[in-house]
Amino acid sequence: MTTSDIEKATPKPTNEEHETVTHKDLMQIFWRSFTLEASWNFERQQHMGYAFAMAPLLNKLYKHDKKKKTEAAERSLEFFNSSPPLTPFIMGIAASMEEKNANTDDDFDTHGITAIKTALMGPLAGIGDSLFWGTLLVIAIGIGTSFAAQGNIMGPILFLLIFNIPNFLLRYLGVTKGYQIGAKLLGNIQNSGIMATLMHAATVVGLVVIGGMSGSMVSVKVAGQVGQGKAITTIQSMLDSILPNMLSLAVVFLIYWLLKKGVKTSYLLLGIFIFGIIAAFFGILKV
Amino acid sequence: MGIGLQAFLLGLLTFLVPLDWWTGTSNISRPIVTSVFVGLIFGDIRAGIIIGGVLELAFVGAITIGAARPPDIISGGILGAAFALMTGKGAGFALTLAFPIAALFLIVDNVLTLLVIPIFAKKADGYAQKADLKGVSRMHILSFVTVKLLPRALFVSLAFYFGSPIMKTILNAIPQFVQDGINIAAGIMPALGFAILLQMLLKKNVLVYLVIGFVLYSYLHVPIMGIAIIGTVIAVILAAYDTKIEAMSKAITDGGANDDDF
Repeated sequence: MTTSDIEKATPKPTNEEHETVTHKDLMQIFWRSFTLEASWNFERQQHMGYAFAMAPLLNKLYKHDKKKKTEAAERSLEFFNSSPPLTPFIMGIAASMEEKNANTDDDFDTHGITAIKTALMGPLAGIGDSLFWGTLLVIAIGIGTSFAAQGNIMGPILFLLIFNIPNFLLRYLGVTKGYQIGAKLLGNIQNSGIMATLMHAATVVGLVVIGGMSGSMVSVKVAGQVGQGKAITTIQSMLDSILPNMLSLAVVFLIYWLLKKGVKTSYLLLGIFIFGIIAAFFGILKV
Repeated sequence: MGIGLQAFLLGLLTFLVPLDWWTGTSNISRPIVTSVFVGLIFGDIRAGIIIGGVLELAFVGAITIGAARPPDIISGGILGAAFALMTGKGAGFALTLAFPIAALFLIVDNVLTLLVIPIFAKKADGYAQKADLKGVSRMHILSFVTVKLLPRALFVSLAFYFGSPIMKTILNAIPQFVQDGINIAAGIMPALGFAILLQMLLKKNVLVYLVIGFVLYSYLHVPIMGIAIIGTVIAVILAAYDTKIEAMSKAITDGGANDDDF
């Protein structure tokens, strides 16, 4: 017996117009939101991913109203692009609005749904990018690669866990809270300064970790020695006695400065290779 | 293991890891993960993990922010690691090969995304007009399989199968100082990734936090895990402080309003 058979077999509710969003529906959005980026494209970006996540719910809510269902389907295919871990939150809010639309007679302004989606995807993309890609991924890479350098399988495992536990947790909370909040409380969140505080906190963690990794993972070693006889010391150990890893940090800032000047990443990439080979040829740096 | 079988397995791996975008952008397509499996194919998981770590660091800046598309780390990471493991060369070579491959496949991927997905998107619009949401969902899946899964897997398989016989000869012909230079460059490469991230994060008033992290490692040799924990603690303290100040300033303004009433 398939699900559609069950649906046919179950007697229709007494008020057949009334369809509500259940926890099971939200969980379906949660799982299907995992595919958001799968059909990313230049024109409308994550639009089919968004539609894919909302499809079962829209099917259910507008079961008896083909006109509204067509509108909802077309609405779900509008331009969409946001930070994937935060989109279930937007979908949860949209779900509550679609529910309202499905259960109101024609006087619900569906532009509101598009407006909310559009209003949220930009700011949330900024927050999600700096939270997940600027901070969490950096921490995951930092810890993961420090284990991987020794050939330890915990490297990749920790990498995945550190990124994905918050990722999946936020998705779950997002879709459930988003639905509860609906569209009404959004103003409060944006005004209360919670977002700004959160962004600032994420930036701080990201910077501390990048600072540590600039020391531990960027390797610039000067070749050559100075002095004679017993007084002989390597240039590198002299530099280390002033400030350990100073060249590593200097290189990070040099490249940062060049990027700010508008030098393209691909040129910098090529430049680093050419610089490395020249430095090796003249014996300036060592491996 | 024959080269044909290796090429097939690498293709299979490349077919599977873009499931990253089917599993909640879970980052399973990053080189630190894929290299484990490349290592498995070449019978040296340990070497695979080490190469994966180096590639991961070098590609730290290769992240999708907004609509900007980074080089294709999947094909670059897998082929780079595969050629390095096959020839017995180190991580530096994996890196040298990974970048041009990643840049090349980004072009292929862009062209396919530009030409093929709109066809499915148009069909999806047609299904939406007929209120057929299952049809819309099918177009999403088809776009994924035809553009994101199949072409890359084919590319990696063929590139390995036809590239590996000449790769050994090319790599062995490279003089020693170039090999050293490549490894020096590999050591510097993470700096580029960090600089790209700093563009996003760094403002004048937060520079001190970068210094804290740097000093924690350079002088105190705290492992990155410890540095991350300290960073989080600092962030939590700051956030609590922020909230307190806000509450206080609110109380002050409220109090002021009351005074006026009085």
